[in-house]
Amino acid sequence: MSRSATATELAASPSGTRLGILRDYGSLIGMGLVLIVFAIVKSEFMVFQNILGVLTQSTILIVLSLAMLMVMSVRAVDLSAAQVADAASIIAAASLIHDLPVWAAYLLPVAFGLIVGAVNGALMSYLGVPAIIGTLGMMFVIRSLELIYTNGGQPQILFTLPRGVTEPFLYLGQGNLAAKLPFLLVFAVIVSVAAFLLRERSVLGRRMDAINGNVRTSFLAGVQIKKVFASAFVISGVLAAIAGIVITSRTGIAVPRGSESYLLEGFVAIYLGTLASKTNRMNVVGTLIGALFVSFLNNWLTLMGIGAEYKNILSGCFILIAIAIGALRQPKS
Amino acid sequence: MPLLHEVDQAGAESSLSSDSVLVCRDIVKRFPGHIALDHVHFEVRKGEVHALLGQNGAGKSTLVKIITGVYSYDEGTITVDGKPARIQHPKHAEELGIAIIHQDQQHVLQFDVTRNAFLGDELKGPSGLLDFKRMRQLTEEALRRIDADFTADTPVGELSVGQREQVAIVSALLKNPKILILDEPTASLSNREVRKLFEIIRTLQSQGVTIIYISHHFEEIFEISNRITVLRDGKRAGTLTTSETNKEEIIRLMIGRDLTQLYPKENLPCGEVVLEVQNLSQGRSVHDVSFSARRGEILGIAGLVGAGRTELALTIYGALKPTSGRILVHGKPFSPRTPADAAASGIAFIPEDRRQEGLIANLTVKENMTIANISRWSRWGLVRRAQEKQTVRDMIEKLSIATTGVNQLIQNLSGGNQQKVVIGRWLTGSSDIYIFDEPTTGVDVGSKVEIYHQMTELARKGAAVLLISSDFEELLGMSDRILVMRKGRITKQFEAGEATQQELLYWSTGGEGPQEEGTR
Amino acid sequence: MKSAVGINESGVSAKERWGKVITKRGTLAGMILILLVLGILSPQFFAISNLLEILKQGSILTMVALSQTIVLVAGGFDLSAGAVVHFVSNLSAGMISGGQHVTVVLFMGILIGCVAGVLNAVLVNQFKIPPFVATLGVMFVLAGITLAYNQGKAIPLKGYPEFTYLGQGYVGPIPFIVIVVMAMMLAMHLHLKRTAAGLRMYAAGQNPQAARIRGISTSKSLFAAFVIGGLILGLTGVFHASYNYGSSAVASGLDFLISALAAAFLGSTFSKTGELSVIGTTCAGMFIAALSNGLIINGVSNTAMSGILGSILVISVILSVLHKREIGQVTIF
Repeated sequence: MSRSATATELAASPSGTRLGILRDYGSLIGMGLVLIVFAIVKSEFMVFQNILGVLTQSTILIVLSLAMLMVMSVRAVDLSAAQVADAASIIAAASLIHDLPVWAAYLLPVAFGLIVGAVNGALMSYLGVPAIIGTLGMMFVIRSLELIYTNGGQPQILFTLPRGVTEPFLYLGQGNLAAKLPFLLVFAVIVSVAAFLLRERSVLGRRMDAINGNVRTSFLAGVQIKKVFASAFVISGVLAAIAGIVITSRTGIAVPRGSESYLLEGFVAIYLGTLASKTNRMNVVGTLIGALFVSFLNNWLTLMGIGAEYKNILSGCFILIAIAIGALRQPKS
Repeated sequence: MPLLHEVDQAGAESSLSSDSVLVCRDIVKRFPGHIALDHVHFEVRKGEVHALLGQNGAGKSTLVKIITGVYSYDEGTITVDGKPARIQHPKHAEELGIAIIHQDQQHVLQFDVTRNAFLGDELKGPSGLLDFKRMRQLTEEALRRIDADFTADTPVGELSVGQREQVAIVSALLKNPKILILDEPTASLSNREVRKLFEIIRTLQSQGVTIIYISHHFEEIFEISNRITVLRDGKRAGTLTTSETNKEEIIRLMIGRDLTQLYPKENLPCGEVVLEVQNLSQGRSVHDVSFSARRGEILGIAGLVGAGRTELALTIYGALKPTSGRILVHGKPFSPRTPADAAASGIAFIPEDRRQEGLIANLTVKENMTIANISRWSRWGLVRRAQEKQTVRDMIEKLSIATTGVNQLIQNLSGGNQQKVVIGRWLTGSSDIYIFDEPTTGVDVGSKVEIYHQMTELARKGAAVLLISSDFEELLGMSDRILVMRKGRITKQFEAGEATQQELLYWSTGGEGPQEEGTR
Repeated sequence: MKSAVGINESGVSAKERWGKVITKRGTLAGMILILLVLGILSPQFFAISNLLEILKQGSILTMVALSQTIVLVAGGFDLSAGAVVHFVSNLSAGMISGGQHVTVVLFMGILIGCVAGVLNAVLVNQFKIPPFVATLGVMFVLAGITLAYNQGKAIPLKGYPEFTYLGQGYVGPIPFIVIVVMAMMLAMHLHLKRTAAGLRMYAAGQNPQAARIRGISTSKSLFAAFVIGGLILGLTGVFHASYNYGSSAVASGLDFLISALAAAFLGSTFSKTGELSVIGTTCAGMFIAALSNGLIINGVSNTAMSGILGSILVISVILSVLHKREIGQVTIF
């Protein structure tokens, strides 16, 4: 396969040079430029309230994308992640509706996510089911369970409950700290930092890198590959469940199947995020940037009155462009 | 004895004979860091069985890869059947009538024998559809010729390694090759299968096919070949007529130079037994192996490809499940379920295939080096990066690893330096049994010395070191005791100072003991 | 040849061979058993009119599954399958209600399907984008275009007998669509099992290294697979609009995907080597349609349906990977 001279030059440029900087950070600069263009075209985009709102709302996508990232970091995929979030949001709402204490509304969904993650881990790691199939099947099983429980998809509404019951729960998604700082934003930062430490700085994270790179070598180096592989699914389940809790807490309502669209957005965030890494590696910081970009993009499209269809088209194009750019950046061995 | 002259017998060398089917003249092949082939002449006569011998690294496989179009060459000419040829691609070599049977031919396991044999050269009927009837017929014929014990409909996935090789032979035969190269064909075959192979070879010979036979097994070479070419250190050491030479002369040509002072081996006091293996068997590769290794000793394990040494190591290391037998570590029974268990018990393993099993190619030097013992730098589950970096830097210095820094991608290091990182991986821990599997293949001389130095250090510090190697010089230079394996069994145990290169080669290739029937 | 966890392969043990026999016979027996039970519980299941309905329903599903099968055989993966079908379906409904002739619509479907296939193949072969990502991106784009076209609404077709004949009509006692599916299946069977190109597709998917050593171009095989698969999807879209009396509002088609994957994998358990085959896929596809039908007749709700399908998918894959001992990483990234 032949490549143009400029592409080869680009790929081979050392990091300090102008061409090198373009290669390493060009995509991020590009994304920034796109956002600036958005602001110019639609001034409401730039308003502080709007930006704050988007940042806060983006917490859901951030947490879910991080969940999916964990599994994709070991060369697998968790198609059930958004469904877990969906179901977790229902469980949270249902807990309050059934008069359970607030801590149950936080704990039960997480327990659910943990169990799903464990089952996924058992299927994919110990039984060897390919992740695409296993998590796809799990997604549909969870969906069915949701629909059965909610009698065909009835939303679980929280604002009809007495304030005293719901207020502690809704604080997560709607409460403000001093100086009008949304608590959810702080929460997003906490989760992101935790995810970063887990994925990029921990012993487990290193082992995940290892089995991503070469399972056989990791095996011979004494890494317990089945444990590590399964752990990725467990973490994903828990994070996805947290995303579900945030959904209910922010909106006050749990709509069955309402969160399924986050799955595909999660993929976009993660693939865009690979552009933040010099080696096109999937990473936490990049995924954060990707999730924020997607959230701002959605917001702008809404402000412009552009429908969901263009969101889809743009998302698809962004993914393809991101991977293609990533492929160009790498000198082929 | 002349060191580097070409030793030929009268009449054995003839480069301008009109019945040469293949003439390679003045072939030079360079790799970064060393010259693999240095003006090599290689000439094969039509209809002969020409054996190609040489130790690991002598250049045999490089030469063969050039002839079969896998590698290009920097200088020299190749003539096939009198016509000059520049072989640039495997298909091209195939068109010229050159076919090769590798030891581990790639097959599509779900396909049957017929489909694998014809894949890429399928036969079609008048309608354009595959003519299975004819393909099956031809395959059956070919199978009958080699007296195979399976049919053309058998899925290749169900065949043993030896049988899969027969499928590869059938595949090659169907292309009516002029030259058939057999690369270590008998490594996994039972004696009965070897006899069959020889019958096929003789049949093919009578039909005018030329065979290039690469092997270490002397009794086979002396039985089947007409001439022998020996390569040594990238040069042709000599070409001899089989009937006019003997094993000792060949060995002398293969080994040649004196032992240089490459090996910093010292005689260290040996301590207690740390590893004991009793009647260990594994599948079809390891049979009833018993030995022990002591602190401070370097135990060499000699043998040829297919002798079962790697499988033995993998079994001790928990990567393969033993069929029977016992392993004792520090006197206690040891049955690891995975290498993680073995590593936790203090065993370190440096694999033979550095690229596929030793490195994680997309990661850095630091990450590759610390993965085995990563928990040593763990605080509350997080990695203490500063300490980790320092340890890696110290190790880089200690092993003299040539790298731009701890964060350099490991794929950018040379083979020798990569190997040092793999070794360093275990040095950061506290293992006391080290198993090295062919640690210096593809490693430059400078790095080799470093590695030998480290091995000696390990022994001095009280570890038991197992050194699996096909390089007899290396084994003799480094080992205290040496075990020789052949076809899964230990054929001979040498105490310190007892072995010579000739004896090692001798026992690796069967010695004069009674021939066993089959490998079971 | 070693697997990632180091199994000593020197021929298959008797135990493993028995395991496979049981699996193969077991799947078929299990399927027949389930259908018998469903029929005994509700005898209307066996009514001729119902059986014909099953065949018709199963045909659409099987077509998608056939497309996915050939792409999987050649070593690829097509996430965009459902989106292609929905796009063409919408376009067909729109064109028919706009007065276009049936043959024009058929031609359009084939053309668009092929274009989608070519697009996917080029992204994978030329741009070196992994199949999962490439088809994910294409799915997004197509879903978006579909939404833009139908504005989120279904396009009903009432009273276009010439067109609806395709999906609902009969030739004598046999539904036309079943004849079409059988023709597709036979043509593909012939191609995959009786031509050199088909053999090479299998090789490309199962051991690309072995194929390349023998001088086979795996990218050519993948290209052909995507194009053929795309062609089938295009036809399926037209038939879908016909069978459903219009197109549906949904666009992404993940529901099609799961049924198609389920059929393909279930079909692979019929062969003793776990090999994918179009005949296996067709049988499995019809079985899944029969199963859905039988469950509904027996009062199982729609909501539980996807969950049950998901479980079938996972169980059938477990059966086929049980004898290996590797973790379920996905290499199509």
